[in-house]
Amino acid sequence: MSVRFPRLAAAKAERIIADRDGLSLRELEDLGLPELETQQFAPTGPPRVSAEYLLSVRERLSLFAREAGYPQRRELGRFDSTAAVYLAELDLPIGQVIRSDTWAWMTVFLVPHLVQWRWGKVDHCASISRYTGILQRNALGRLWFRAYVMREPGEAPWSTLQLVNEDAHVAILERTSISRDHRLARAIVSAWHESGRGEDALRDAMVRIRVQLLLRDVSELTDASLREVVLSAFR
Amino acid sequence: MAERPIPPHRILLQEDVHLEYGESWHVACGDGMVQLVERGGIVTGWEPGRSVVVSNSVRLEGGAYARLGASRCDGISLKLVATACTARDLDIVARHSCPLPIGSADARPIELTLDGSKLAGDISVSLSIVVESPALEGDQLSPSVPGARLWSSRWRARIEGGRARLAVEAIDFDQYFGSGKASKGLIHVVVAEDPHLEIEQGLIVYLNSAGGGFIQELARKEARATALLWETVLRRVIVAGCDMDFSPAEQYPDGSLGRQWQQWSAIVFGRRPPAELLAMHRGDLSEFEVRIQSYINMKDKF
Repeated sequence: MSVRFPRLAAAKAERIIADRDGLSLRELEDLGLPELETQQFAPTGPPRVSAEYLLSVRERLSLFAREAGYPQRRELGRFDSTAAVYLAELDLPIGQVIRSDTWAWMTVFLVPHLVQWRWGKVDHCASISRYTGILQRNALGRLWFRAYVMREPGEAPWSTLQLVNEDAHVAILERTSISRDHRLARAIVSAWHESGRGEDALRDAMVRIRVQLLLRDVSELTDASLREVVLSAFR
Repeated sequence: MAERPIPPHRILLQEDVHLEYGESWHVACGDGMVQLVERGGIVTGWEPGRSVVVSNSVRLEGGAYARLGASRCDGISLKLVATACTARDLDIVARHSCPLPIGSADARPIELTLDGSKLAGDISVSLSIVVESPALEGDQLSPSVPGARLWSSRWRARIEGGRARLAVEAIDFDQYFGSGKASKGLIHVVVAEDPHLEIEQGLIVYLNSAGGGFIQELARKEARATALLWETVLRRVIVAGCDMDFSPAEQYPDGSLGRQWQQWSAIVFGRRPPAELLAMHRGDLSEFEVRIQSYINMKDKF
């Protein structure tokens, strides 16, 4: 998709979020989009995204949330899973959606009710990092990123994505030395799943693999050799 | 501080590897001129629709194989691997690899072509010399696995073209602060709480849109207006960073708010701890301000 998305600097977002302190989910849901003409976009590039398109994204994400129990916090994992696949399949422009300020705009203006529902508490606002933090912490950006990294080539693109729970995603995706090499990240998930062991084993293996990466460049290894390197970290 | 593990095999030293441009790489944006960009430098002219070509060349010095304890016939072969990443290493955008023949005095060219639309904020290139196939008869210190790193180097540069480095916006102060509360003010600086954010995201400067003359002077880069702006920005960032417990010792990313705060604090006040700076700000505000004015060289602007 070749359009420009609006961006929101964290320093600006924090004030907007602070002004909304205490709003209910319903009130957050009813907030309208700001005039796109007044928003910040990259100065050059393809055409600006339309409000209609952004609203259609909000509608779909809200639908996934309702299917996962919104406004009750019942099946948060289900929302994460369906929203991650949906965002990845939108084919968003990589250079823009890998920036945290693009996702800051989306979470602050497009789906603040979903951020509060997913990460807030009844008497407590969602952490600012879920709006303006790094990609891996942003409430929506992290979902897009996990699907982007875990996407398998071929007919079953989401088979690896479905194997991983929240904690494991955090363990893998917050280590950029691993997550930037999608093939390696997927190999780790497969090996961990095959091992049938818990998250402690994954965390230990991640340490061993990160040490290995300092000593060895695995990017040129065949799939079979890479798999051997990763499996050895789980032994 | 993270420690690197000691490799269980011989490695090449810096003097064994010759990079044609030293600490720099050649970068060309679209059809633009080739830029020689040093490590930590800035690539100008980047546009999302144009490709970016990053190039260099590598030659092994004569003693490199002796350093590895290898003779010419023992079967070891080496490879040059270059990986380009963007968005602070969040995504790999290009790879290049080629054999590095034994005993050849020729330089091996490296050229990475990056899709400009996939870049965000920076470009980094990790360059490694690795074992392609190990020696047939090595000793205990011979590198024994494919991919074993013998030498590596890293270069990073910011890319510019899409956004100003200091984010400045003109707004209506009456609307922002409430009618009459700050309508005659000039500059409002907002600093984010997260020191890891890029400076463009973590620092916003608002100018009063009613102060058209000041904005025009800034646009013309008039010395007085520019000095006043920077004096305000530095003061606000230094105090805010101290207030929000930014760490003077932590290794914040290049181009981040935290790194900029460390640089400004250190250059204006020396390496004084944040608590001392805050105490000076509260107890000796005039000296605090005059030190910043001095750094800006305010006296020569009037």
